[in-house]
Amino acid sequence: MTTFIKMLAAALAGVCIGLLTVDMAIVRDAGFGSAAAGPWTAWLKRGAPDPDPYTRAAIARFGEIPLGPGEGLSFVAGADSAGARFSGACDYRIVGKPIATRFWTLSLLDPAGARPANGDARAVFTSQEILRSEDGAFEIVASARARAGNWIAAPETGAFMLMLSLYDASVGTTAGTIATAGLPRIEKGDCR
Amino acid sequence: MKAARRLGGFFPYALGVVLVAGVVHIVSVLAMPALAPRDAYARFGEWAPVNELAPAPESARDGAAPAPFNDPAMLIAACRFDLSGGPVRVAATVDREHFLSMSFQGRTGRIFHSLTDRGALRDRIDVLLLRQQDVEAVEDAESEDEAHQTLRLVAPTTTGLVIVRSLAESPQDRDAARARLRNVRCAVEPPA
Repeated sequence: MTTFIKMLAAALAGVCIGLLTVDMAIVRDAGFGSAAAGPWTAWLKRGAPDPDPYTRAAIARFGEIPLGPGEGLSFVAGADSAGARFSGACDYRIVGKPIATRFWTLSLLDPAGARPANGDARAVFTSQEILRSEDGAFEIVASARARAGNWIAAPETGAFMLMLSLYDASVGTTAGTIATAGLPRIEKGDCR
Repeated sequence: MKAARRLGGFFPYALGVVLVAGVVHIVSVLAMPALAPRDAYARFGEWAPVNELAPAPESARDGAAPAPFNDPAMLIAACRFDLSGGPVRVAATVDREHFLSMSFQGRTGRIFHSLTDRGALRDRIDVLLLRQQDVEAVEDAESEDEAHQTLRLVAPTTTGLVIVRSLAESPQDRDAARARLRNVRCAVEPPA
């Protein structure tokens, strides 16, 4: 009888550990098929024609609609160029030069990838509307406080994500070529 | 001696836990695309009709988006295709100035093709989605001229999603971007 209980306990523990490790692998996305360029991470396999089983599981689980390789490429960042996680208590400057792509957009999302609930405040900038200096360089400020220039509204408190989407990108979608795209830096400004 | 015996008694159970955990992990990762109740196909099924294109509902107020990590500057329309009644044609008129893209995904989320307006021939995107068994009949019926302009895509599954994206270059451009989506058609091809 005790043997049976022990076996049952072992089986239950096995099921729990199995499910937990799946959750860890796809929710935290252990980095399968990702490529990093500075603070930016691209999930290259998300839109690929032959995603690995973990990528397929993650897409199904979260109901994402990734960009296909023929459409473009998107990058997400949860931390600045120095590696500190984004916080609504701080201002961030996104500084960049022209990016090798036909169009790009920079958007601010909550950590689950939803649009932050901040009413009509600006959550996205496109390459067509941004104010630039004469040499094409630009600076976007992500802050909870409204300001002049390229301002994107961050939440008052808590974490958020930045997403940079390149459409009809001239860069290839392999890890090695992404570095050449010239993605912007993210610098932390004042904190409150 | 006694400790060694206890360890020996414990070992089969530990092995059992590891084995069960491994099997559960692998099975649930592989089964996720087929079982996930909230994948893109299920979410889009709430508003996207079959073999007909519809714009994704937009409600900026509560921060709802058609899918997580979707670019807020992109307007989305989708068509759930079902090829059991014959091939489905997806066609659009584009101006090659504004960004419009399409991705074609099978029932489990695998993207089997993606394209943008930049690849359009004579300002038209013309795609015929079909099953492998319909290829011959379509080739016989099609004229030479048609064959040149139509991109024939064999879908890996009978059902799936066509996702159309139209970029709003600024908030003022949203209405125009919405109108550009209305230039896209998705319909069952009438029998020749």
